Amino acid sequence: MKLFRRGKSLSLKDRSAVAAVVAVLLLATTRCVGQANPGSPTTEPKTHGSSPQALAAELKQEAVQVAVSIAEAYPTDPLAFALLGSAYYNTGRSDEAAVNLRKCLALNPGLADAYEVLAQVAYDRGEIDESVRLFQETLKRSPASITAMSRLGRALMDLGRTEESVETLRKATKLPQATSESFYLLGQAYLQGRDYARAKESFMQATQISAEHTQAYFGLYTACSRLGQSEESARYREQFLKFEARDRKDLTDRNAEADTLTGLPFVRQTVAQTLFGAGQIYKSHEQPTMASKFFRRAALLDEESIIYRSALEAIYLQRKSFAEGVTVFEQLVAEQPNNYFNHIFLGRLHNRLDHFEAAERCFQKVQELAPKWAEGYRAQAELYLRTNRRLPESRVMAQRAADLEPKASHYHLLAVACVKNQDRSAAVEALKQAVSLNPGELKYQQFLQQLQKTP
Amino acid sequence: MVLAPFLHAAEPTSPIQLTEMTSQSGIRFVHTDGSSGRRYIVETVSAGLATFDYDGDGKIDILFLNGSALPGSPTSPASAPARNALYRNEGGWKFNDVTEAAGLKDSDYHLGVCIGDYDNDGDADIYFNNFGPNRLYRNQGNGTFVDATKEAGVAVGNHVGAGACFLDIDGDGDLDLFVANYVDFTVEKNQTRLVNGHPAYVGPMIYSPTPSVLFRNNGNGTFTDISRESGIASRPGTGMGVVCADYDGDGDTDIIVGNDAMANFVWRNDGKGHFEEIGMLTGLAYDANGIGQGTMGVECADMNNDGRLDFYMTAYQKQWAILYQNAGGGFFDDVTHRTGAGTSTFNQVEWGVGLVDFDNDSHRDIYIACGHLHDNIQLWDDTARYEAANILLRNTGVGKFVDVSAQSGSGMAMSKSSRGAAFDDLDNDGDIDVVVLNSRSQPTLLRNDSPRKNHWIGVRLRGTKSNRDGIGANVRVISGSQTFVDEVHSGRGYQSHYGMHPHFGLGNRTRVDRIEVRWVGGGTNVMLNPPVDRLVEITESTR
Repeated sequence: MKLFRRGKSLSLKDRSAVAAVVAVLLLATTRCVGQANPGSPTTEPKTHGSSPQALAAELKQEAVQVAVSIAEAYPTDPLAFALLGSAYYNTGRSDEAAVNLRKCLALNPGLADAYEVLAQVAYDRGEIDESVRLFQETLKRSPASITAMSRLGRALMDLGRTEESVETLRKATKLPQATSESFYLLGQAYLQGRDYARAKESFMQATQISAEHTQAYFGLYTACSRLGQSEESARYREQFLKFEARDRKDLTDRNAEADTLTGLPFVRQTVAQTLFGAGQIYKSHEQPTMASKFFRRAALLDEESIIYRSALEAIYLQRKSFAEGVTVFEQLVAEQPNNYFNHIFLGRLHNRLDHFEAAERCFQKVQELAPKWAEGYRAQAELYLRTNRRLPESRVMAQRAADLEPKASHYHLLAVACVKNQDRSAAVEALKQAVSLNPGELKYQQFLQQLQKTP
Repeated sequence: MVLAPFLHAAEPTSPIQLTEMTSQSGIRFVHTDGSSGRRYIVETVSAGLATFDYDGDGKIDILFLNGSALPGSPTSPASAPARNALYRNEGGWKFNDVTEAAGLKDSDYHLGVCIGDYDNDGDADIYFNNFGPNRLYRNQGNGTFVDATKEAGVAVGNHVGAGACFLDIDGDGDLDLFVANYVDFTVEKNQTRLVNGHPAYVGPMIYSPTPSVLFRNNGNGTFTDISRESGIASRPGTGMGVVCADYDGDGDTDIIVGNDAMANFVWRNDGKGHFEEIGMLTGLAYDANGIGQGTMGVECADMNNDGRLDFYMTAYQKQWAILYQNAGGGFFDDVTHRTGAGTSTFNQVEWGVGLVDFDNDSHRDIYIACGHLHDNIQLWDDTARYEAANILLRNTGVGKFVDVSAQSGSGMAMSKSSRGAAFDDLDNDGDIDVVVLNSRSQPTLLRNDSPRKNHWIGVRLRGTKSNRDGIGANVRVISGSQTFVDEVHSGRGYQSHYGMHPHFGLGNRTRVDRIEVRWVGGGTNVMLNPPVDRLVEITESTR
């Protein structure tokens, strides 16, 4: 369910506030369509004497309070109400969630995601017919929404409308962003229609995307049983039981979904997403200080996310307040000294201020904390190249980045380092790699041609 | 003519009408779960009830199970300890509390119950499955009971009980006893948790599952614990509701245990009293998604009139109550969504369940008792309530169920936190009435006032070689090309007992060609051309 994981590059494109908040709205209300997948935070939360459960409750309240204040501050901003609706939803206050989502839609009837959350609220209440209607409204506005389409397929299945469910889920599995859940649900719909061969095929596709999809193995077991394929059935049964035992091992609630939703790791993530949305709304209303405050808080809550730190950095880059940015990231480093995302952003800001040694220390720290993450080496190489210092090391760093993550931009960087180190033939080889990996990028081709022409 | 639209509007829109009768019945019982705010898990699952004819007068009496004060529970010196309540049916929907006179005076913490004539002396004995030692009451045949636990050797010990069933595991003619257990909980092991900052009960997975217990009847008023040698002890579970039935039609009685938050168990009987757990193979262990549901109540009946027993299991919130359709050969399919048999259950915690043909149209309907186990659930989930309206799903007869709760009379309008539910003909008028035990509240009595346009037949069995009530016998009612099937169960639904006389709605059929009874042990009886619209009695032939 996480969109950003460690190892992603920093080349996060700025999105409009609208897109970001809407994305957050969906993220913050994401409930697994089928199998829940609990998060795994890298650091235990600081409970300050409170139990994880009490801390989770406090965090949810914090999210609601922030969202309330934003809705009060910007009563004509539909996204403020979308955010508030989502915050209420996450605290189990679905009535208030629905009221605010409807306010959002009154201000902007085109917001598909608000419809989608409303549909989910209806589904949770057991109003499955109404959820079908609302998911259909969602899809009118956002025809390629994989979550809406999958959830619509599931709701139709729940109502026994098997053929419509199959049709919907088949469309979902044809979307580029189709997930294992889409295929799993399609398998379930086929099972319901007693089309065991197609069910088996869909469950197989689900396991190809997600090799440990417990329920898909149960589906395979069932389908193979019905098809009389006893050996395969027995094999899938064993796999299901193995994964099911694993899933149940640490369960503290009656089902995995409830367990995940009330667990502190998930709450930290969802509250971080809500606070990030708050920051985006403040940013769109030209309140960068407030935006920074909430991006920073989101980053503290969700150590695994790079997006919040990237958004935080962007505020200081856009305002060219690099020193202020350094102060903010130094605080983050002080609070989360082992989070290499903090170090990389701090290093980048130091770089902007020409704090060579400080930037270098940051990037070296990144390499120490995450030796297999290309970004630390790339940043250090860029630092050396920009300042024309330690050029031999720049080539080593660039080579390491390319080795760890062989992508066009890294080979381009390596080519630059080679040129700076007077090794034109190596630069040509690196650029050829860059062009082959990204033939559409003119910059690489032009650079290559230039090198090949120059004696 | 002017009044016609008004009259039309006043007509019931459901052919099933259930009328609330509690207040005028004389029943004053109020259930206690013994709670004190410490949130012991046992509080949430209390309790079941039983409907049976304890004094043999032909009228069905009611036994409500009660909890009792748990440590921390405020008790007043003046207040009498909580106890069960046995109400004698005086006829005319009047009931009289005979608990004390009957000798059922204990103040144990009761959870589950089953009724059976374990000593084959012609009257109904009671087994209580408790939090703490269990208790067996032997009916003395004069309206009183005597505590026979010690002599029978069936106390089990300090377990958290659940459903219990009398059954004849080996066809020897006497009733053995299956006792399900929930989790390995003691007051000392109690845990609680916070949800969104609010105190909450923990789920069963916090405690270890426990094995069930199986007793073999020695035929002399005593029992022997054969849990280990029978295989029953081999798999611990989180047992809740139990029903014993011949799910595979091989002539012996199997045991189906609903487990809370894990796979259900199907204990297949080899006919000699040895059991093998094969829940997954049958399809009854998980729902269609491979989820081990929070199963609460377990029932079985032929829901599609194909001559085979289907199973229904109620479940926890955000899960659907499941209808498992018998596909033959011992296999079941989850047909919940295909049939609508789970309609309106998704956001409820459901407990007792009855698969009953309320309007005698020859298609069994579904009554589901609902109520959350968290008394403060609305503080963190406003879609749910501790007190909830129960659900009535009408079988349309064409493979679909529709929710008629809102159109089925005053009895369906109430919201309580229901647990066990029982279904019997309390007024002997040929339709099945409802009794519901509500947690921390008065029970609910519902009189079936559905229009009497259909025919029915009830069957009372008298065992001679097999147990006296014919528990485990298979009853087939044949009318023309249609065969209706049922079994006699002791212990069913949510930790409750009811319905010892199989009841068949016949629709507009005015004639039954024959009734076939297959007794546990293999004997058969056939009754030709029985009269309809009455309870007929079939005695096991002695040849």
